[in-house]
Amino acid sequence: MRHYNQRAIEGSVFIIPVLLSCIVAFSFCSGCTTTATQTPASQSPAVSTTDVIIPVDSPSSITYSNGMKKESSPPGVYEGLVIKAPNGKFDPGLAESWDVSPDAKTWTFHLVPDAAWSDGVPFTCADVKFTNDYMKAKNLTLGFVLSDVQSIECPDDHTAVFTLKTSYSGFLDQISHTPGITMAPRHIWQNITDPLHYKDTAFVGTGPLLFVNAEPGYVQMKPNDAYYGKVPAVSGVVLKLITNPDSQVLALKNGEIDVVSGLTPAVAQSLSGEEHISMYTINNSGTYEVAFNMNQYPSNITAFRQAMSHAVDRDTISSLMGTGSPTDSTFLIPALAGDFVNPADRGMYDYNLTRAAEILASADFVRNGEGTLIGPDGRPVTITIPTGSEGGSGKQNTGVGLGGGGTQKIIAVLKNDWARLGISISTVTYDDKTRYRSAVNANPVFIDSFPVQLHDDANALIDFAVTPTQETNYYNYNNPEYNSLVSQLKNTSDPAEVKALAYKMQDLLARDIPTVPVCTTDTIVAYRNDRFTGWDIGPGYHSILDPRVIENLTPVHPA
Amino acid sequence: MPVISSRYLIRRLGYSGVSFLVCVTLTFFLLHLMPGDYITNYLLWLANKVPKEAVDQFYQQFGLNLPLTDQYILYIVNILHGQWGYSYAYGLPVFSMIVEKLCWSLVLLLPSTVFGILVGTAIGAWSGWRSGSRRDLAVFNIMIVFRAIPEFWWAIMAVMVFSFYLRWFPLGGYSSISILSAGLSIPDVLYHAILPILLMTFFIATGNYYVMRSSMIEVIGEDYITTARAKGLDEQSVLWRHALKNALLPMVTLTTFQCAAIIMGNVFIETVFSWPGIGYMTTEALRLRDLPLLEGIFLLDSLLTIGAMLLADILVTVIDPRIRMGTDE
Amino acid sequence: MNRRVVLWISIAVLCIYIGIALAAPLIAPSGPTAITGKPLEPPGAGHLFGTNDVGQDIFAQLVFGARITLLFGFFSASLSVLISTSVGIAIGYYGGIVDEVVSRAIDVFMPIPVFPLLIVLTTFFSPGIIQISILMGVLGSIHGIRIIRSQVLSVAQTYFVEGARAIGASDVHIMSRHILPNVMPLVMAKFVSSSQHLLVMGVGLSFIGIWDTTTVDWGTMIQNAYSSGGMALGLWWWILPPGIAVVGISLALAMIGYSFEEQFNPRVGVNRL
Repeated sequence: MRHYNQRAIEGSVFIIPVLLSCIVAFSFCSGCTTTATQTPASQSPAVSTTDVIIPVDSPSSITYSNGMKKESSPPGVYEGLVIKAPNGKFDPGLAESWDVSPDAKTWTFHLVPDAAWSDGVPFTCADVKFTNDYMKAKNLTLGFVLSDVQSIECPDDHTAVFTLKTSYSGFLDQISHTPGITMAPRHIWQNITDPLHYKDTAFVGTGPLLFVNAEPGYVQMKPNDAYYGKVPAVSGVVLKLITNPDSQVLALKNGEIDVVSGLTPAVAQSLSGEEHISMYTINNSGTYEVAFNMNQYPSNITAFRQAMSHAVDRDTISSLMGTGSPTDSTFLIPALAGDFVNPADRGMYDYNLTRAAEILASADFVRNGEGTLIGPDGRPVTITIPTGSEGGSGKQNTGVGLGGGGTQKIIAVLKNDWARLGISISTVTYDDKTRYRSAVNANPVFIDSFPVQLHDDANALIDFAVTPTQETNYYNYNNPEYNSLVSQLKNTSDPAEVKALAYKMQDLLARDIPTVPVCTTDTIVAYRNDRFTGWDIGPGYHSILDPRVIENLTPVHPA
Repeated sequence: MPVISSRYLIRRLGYSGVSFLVCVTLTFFLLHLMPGDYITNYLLWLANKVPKEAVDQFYQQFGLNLPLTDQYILYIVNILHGQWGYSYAYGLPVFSMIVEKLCWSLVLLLPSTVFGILVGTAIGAWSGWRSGSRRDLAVFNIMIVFRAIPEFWWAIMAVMVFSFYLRWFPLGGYSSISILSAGLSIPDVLYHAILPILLMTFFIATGNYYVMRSSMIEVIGEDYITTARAKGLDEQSVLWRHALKNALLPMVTLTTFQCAAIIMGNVFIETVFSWPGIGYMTTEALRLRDLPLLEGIFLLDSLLTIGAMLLADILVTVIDPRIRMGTDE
Repeated sequence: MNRRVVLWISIAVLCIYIGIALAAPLIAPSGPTAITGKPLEPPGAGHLFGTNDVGQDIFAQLVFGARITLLFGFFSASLSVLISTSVGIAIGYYGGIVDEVVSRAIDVFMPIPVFPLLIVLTTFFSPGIIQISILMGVLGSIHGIRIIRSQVLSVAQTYFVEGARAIGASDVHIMSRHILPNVMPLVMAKFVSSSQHLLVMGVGLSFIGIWDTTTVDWGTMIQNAYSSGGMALGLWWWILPPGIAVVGISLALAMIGYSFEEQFNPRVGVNRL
């Protein structure tokens, strides 16, 4: 009896797990190998020396389902009507020019006449109209971008007339960034009844790049020779997944990739001696502000906000950041917003702790024996600043630039300074954005880092309004005077009027201080100068994956 | 061969089924009650604001505005039809996503688990047999040291030394760029996988080593070993025919569980080696609150674990007639 | 090297760690988050291990980080052992329905993957170390219950327990005066091994970023160094100290744990939490 069992034991321990694992493995691996290749290997061209290799840091950036879900389509394949440029201007995209009615309700876009989809079908207004109708009919999430649109008419193939439900002078902002919307081909999508579950393999778009192939960890693209604009000079683009930033730097040194974005100043410093590596900065790619939630004590006391506006040492913070410069305006970033910034309202929040203490004292904030600040409610002033994970919001601008540590640096400096005023600060981190937002609503102070595109023109000031469609804003700032200025702003498209209104709004901001801008940060990019040049396309909003950058690249050694 | 009573088997299977159902229910409600939801996080990331209509529309589309119990029933019905749902974030079918990522995790986990078990058990047996000797103690101490160092620290050190400085191995990822034109190349993937596999093998081996050694030591103290020796059997026979076979008994349970644990991937190793497998996908899905994907992962894992428990119980009952599971003590 | 010697060395090491953690404000008076130097300075005057990317003293962070890491490990291990011992003794002693119900409940919970479950559960509470250590303690106790239970079973059936009951001793009395001392060796061994396991797991979890990444503990220190240029720049003084600290205490605890096991030789099983 025992012999039998013993054999079974011996067998089972060794054979069963092996067998189990093999069964599991084989059944899965059969699935694995079929999903691993999307196109037969023979059709996919080899990666050549004139292909530019760009790293991405998260697997979701290179897992594509279809173009109706914006964050998962290959870069450079789909295009929108306009592209945002600094100083409140816009560059042409699929619309080469546009007009707007004086009441900012009717927008007429003159489309590029010779644009075509990558399968040869011409791009016409019908596609624009289709994109709008389809997204709304299929209840796609991205459709909210066009929620202001009442209807789109096509008087001819290359003119699209948008009629909005209400006046909105910032409509171009809406359709061009955060997130903006790209055009989808009617002739393909009209046949697709279930866009949510449709897996696209062709990615037919109008853009300068064509999708070629995707494998685990890599995406391959090539230039669209029939592109109506400038065809990229590179022979191909390969995206490579490298999740660790340090590994990216080392891969750059090894020559495995051609560029790295979002370097910390220390790393950039260490690379400055390398022979084949050059660097440049994308200025003002990120911004920080110390913001007040005006519904919470003590931020609901104007004097408190005024006092604390003098307690933000933006010079120290900016130097700790290592890049960028301090922002001395009420909200808009001078370098980006140009003359939208009201010069009369600059330099109002100068760093002066004595002044801060004075204002606090005059508002019934008293220092007790131990130096703790006691507020008008009789209790010590302690502030909890919620922080959220920064990775997400940073990536959509310029790579890893805004990420980790920026908020921490600000809080470290604030902790020291505000302690000298008798205020103690603590922090709580929320990984989940929803929880973070509710924590922001429950506390008086938070550190915000909006995308910079929301800080560069008059329309950005709308963020401080309370309107019928926008029930509240982050700062809970509700000033009827301000709100009425905002609705006037939305209703007009006359530049002079817009500017005058913007100036008035900034005066109000300077008086009420819902937020104290701190500084901007730059994104440092390093690239191999023995492979490609032309990465630096000048100031503005772009990441290294921006088609304008790719179009500007030239191989150092042409094939 | 002693046969398990079919009554016992049926009872056991029934019990597993119930256990599975309870598991599924628990995880479903737990996941759906988690604070934070996908669409709010998504909109905040994408547009920095949360338009109410977009949220409502999403809820309606995915049935999230139904009462929770209705959603639960729908979910169970779908599962029974083999419909595991679609990921919110990727829009792809949950099952095929899990399978694909799992496949890549398996590339690392399968060899390391199998080798780890074999190597650990073998060395453990030898060590237990020779317990007390200098060599045994040396190996024992080495194993303790191995095990005490956290796995992710091994990984970081390995990457630093072998990949960064010595450049013997790649920095991470599945394969080199040749995959685009030449397709999946087994030697290439192996080259990328060697370091993580080696690390995990060592780690798994230490666990098996320790259990096997203890088991062996205990078996050696048993009466039948003394009897066998008294009978005049040579050491080899005693080892192979008596000691080993009995010492392996606790390993059965351990190894079935180790194999079932494969499915969860190894988050630490995958993070450090940039190996986007199922461990990585799980943490990402958790962060994004991608409910269908999470449900699928939990479901598969529960299924496999319960299966492993069932298998372990049955095996042990078959093997050792002294143990009768399901009866008291 | 003699096992005894090793044991004493390990205990000494453990005491040193605990001592440093307790005396942290004395050793590094400026605190872990004060910016005391320029970023990324190598070890030198005033900064035993240099500074990190914000300019904070790494040695101070190490010393204060010990508090959090050790606290997490010991607190969750204590909780885990407390729960598994009391529940294990109770169900082992009473047997019957209580045993059935609890054992079945445990069987149901075991297949749920611990790691994702942990993360899911943490979302229900604010992401604090105390909360997570409580959760880890509870989750960890589940495996331990079975082990304690089987040990209790063998004791509960012995004659002297029956005798005690015959005299009229109360259940609680029997459990605490007769059963508990018998399982105590096992409990102590488990406490030490749980501490080691949970401490290392805590560092791993914080490495992955499960709680406030601004907390200064060894896991976040390693993570910061790992992802902010520590490797690419070869800043060994940034990456190595926290890692070596973890290895040190993990080894010490492991040695102590194994010594206990050898002494008391409990029933062998999967020596998990």
